[in-house]
Amino acid sequence: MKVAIAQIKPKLGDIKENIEKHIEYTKKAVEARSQLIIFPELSLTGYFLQDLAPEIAIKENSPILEPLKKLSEDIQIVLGLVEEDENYHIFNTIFFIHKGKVVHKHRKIYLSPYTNEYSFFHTGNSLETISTSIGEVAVLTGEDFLHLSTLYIAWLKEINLLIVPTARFFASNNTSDIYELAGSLYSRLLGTYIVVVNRVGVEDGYVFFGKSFVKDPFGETVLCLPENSEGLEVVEIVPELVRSARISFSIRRYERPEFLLKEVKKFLENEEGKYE
Amino acid sequence: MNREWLKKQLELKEPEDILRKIIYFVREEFEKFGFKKAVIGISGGIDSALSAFIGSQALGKENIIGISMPYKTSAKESIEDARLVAQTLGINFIEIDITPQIDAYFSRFPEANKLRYGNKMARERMSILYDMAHKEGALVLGTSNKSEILVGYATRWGDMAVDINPIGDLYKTQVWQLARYTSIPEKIIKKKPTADLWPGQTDENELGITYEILDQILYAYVDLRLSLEDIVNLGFDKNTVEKVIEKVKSSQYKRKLPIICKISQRTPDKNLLYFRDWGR
Repeated sequence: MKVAIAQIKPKLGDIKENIEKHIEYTKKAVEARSQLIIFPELSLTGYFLQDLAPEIAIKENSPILEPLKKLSEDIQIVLGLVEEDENYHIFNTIFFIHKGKVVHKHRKIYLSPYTNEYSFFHTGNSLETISTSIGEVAVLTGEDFLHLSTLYIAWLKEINLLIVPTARFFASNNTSDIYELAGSLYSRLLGTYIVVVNRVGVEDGYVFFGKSFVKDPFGETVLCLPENSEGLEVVEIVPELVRSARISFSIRRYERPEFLLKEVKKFLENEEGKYE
Repeated sequence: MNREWLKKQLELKEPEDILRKIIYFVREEFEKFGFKKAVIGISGGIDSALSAFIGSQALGKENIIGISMPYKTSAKESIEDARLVAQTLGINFIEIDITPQIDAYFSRFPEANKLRYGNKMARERMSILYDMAHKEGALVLGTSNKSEILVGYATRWGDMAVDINPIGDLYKTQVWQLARYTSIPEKIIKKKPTADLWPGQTDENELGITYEILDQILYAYVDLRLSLEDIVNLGFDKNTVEKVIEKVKSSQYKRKLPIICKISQRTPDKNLLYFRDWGR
């Protein structure tokens, strides 16, 4: 399956213009015969929304998504936006749009504390997978990818492709990119493809640095986009490589979730008594 | 929900209580920073009058220095009104004509338009206020109200540059309402708002709508978080509402500090999350 990485520069708060860009990139991906196109976290809205978040939130059936739904006959479109549910709760959400409908969604679970996401979004509470032609696929948004609990669920479910939309900005010239490190490690540990799609552009001095990448199930970098520029790149996902990686490194077979459950239960029971 | 309801919502329910809170605020903040005196630009308008009143209630009228800074095209009435305000409130009062310095500068740029003159005057006044504040060991009291701050009808680093602003969270119509609970003369409360930066200028002409309508739209959008559609349904012209929202959006930069490019984990304008009153 061909997967297109759309490393774009959204305009903060301008859904109309951002939709145009999503359409443009999706058309290019279709031309390049991709079956899946992935956009960054909050690609439809820009990242530092703050008070804009409730103003820019849309529902699954919003007419704004119509043009993209029309394009989604032969390609699955994975994009980021602010979603509002029937209880007026808003989420940092990733939609999968295919054959004219929203077929899957992931609401970010582990919101970013450094950028005050908790002040503006509700947290998601589940990690579901979606079936595709290459097998089960899951999404972890931004910091979801850095928590062991969410990685563990992805591992348990033995997904073949992990999609990680992010909106990462430069914040220190002294540390390596932890997502890159995690990508290399987990792709090998899980025996899965990991696609991290980051945005570019600047918002009030926060520089989003791009450098989207794809790791194969052997932990090798298959694709890496440049810093600071928009671009569309296509990569081939090969399920046979997943099989090969898992046969050669098969520790998943020996994993004992009941052990985890027992230990976590014990830990929580201990924690409960601790602060009385 | 309709415009009548909106108008009622805008009215301050307990104006005297609000006044007391703001007076308390001024007293506390000045004390925290170790200052007893305040300087304030007195234009002869209602905003500076209310600010000066609050200042004199908080710090004592003898500790307020009102400064009138006319330019040669300032309305004579404004200058007289400034004197009237200072007299009524019993505060100290100085007049400083800014014509020489403004004209000296623009003698080099005779083609300058009135906006450039207006901004230069606003910034010259700020410059004078800060020099006088230094001289008197005082802080600068601000006079911008919520309506003008939200639509950006103020000069960045001009009248927006102050130390403490007692009325920045009050809409113009609320300023008028509060003024009635003070000793500010009726004449001042009733006059047409003007920045007086050029002859015949009035706020409502510049903005294109009356403060009454502007405040209702702003209240609906900013305070009630209503959508454009909802606001229009309350009974406002769509074009007008769109223009107001656009003014709020495009003036946001005036309400923020200059942007710094983020390189480190803790960038001075973004990640030093301490209040101004840190340690005070």
